[in-house]
Amino acid sequence: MVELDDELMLRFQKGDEEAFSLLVRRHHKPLINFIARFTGDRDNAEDLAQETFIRIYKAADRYKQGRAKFKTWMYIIAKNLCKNELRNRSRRDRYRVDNTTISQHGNDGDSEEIDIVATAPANSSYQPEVALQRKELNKTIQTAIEELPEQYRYPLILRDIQGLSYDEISDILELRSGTTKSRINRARIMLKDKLKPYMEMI
Amino acid sequence: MNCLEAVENFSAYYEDLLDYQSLKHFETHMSACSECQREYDQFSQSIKVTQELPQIEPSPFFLTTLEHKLAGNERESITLWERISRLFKLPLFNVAHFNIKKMALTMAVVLLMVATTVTIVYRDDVFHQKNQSSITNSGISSERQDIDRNEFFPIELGSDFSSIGVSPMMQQNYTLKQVSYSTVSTGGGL
Repeated sequence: MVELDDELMLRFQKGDEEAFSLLVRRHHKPLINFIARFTGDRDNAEDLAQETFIRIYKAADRYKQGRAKFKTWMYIIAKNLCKNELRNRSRRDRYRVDNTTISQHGNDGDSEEIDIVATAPANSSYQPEVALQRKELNKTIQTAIEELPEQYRYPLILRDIQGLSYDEISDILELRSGTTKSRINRARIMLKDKLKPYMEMI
Repeated sequence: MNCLEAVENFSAYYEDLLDYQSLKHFETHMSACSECQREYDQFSQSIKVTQELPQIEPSPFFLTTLEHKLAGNERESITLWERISRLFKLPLFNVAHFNIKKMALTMAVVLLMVATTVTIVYRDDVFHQKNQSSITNSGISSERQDIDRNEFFPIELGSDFSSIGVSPMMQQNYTLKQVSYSTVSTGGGL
């Protein structure tokens, strides 16, 4: 029988390090996915995911069962780290003076983008044209998501990419249920408008 | 239902969350409005392609790197106050999770409790003082005096004291003395 997150946390609070390891193995993939989709930076997403788990590890004794679900707690920590990361990044961008030099060397900032094809699972019926088209589409979607204001980007990713329930999203974003629903609807409409030129083509 | 209301219900319709009445209104509008139909098609299509985004796989070194990073960290021990709070299920005042609404509510409850306690104690004191003065002051409450008199003076004993103008306190002392004389054994001396 699969142990619940709460049970694993309880075991970890009592000193069972293996329980924490199980929690990490269970949640690290969706967590990295969430951070990468939110920040658009895969490499940094791993660092931020590790930082999230380190914070959980250090503050494990503060976790109270029944107060919030482990998953909710994890996403709240990750969300705050993402927020800080974006703030720091915009500060770094503001003070970066060597943009031109980097562009001249062929690095136009694409190294930070998520290479979807590289991460896609191997497929026996692999068709290069279809894969390329899908790669372009994924890149467009990712860019469109990154362009959404933060208050709409969080709920959209949590709902449509992470597959969380409305209640879980409300807990993570500390919003009322009605606000969460309207933000998700608004975010989807905004995304649809951004993808409209591409949708009409396919 | 107009176009604006229909757009507001796109997600609810997509996720089958509309109640019967809203669903009927929505479908009636959609069947008559080609613009909303097209918008909804694009809406649902964009959700589908977003949901189909592949999951980003972590690097093979993710877990080992995390293990190394964790090795340099220790778990934070919780404070004595937190332990006590947890033991008695008291609310925690954690600065990191400071919530002004909860804090204000807690303060209001505490103030109310203090005010109630002070009022009860104060009223209790005043009540005792009133009792005291009613016992010592013979002219204040004749009703209370009557009760006291009846307690200490059975009808057959107390009836003739009122006529000689003895104060209730004196009557009381006298009666107690009388009682003690009559109940203590003299051992045959008197």
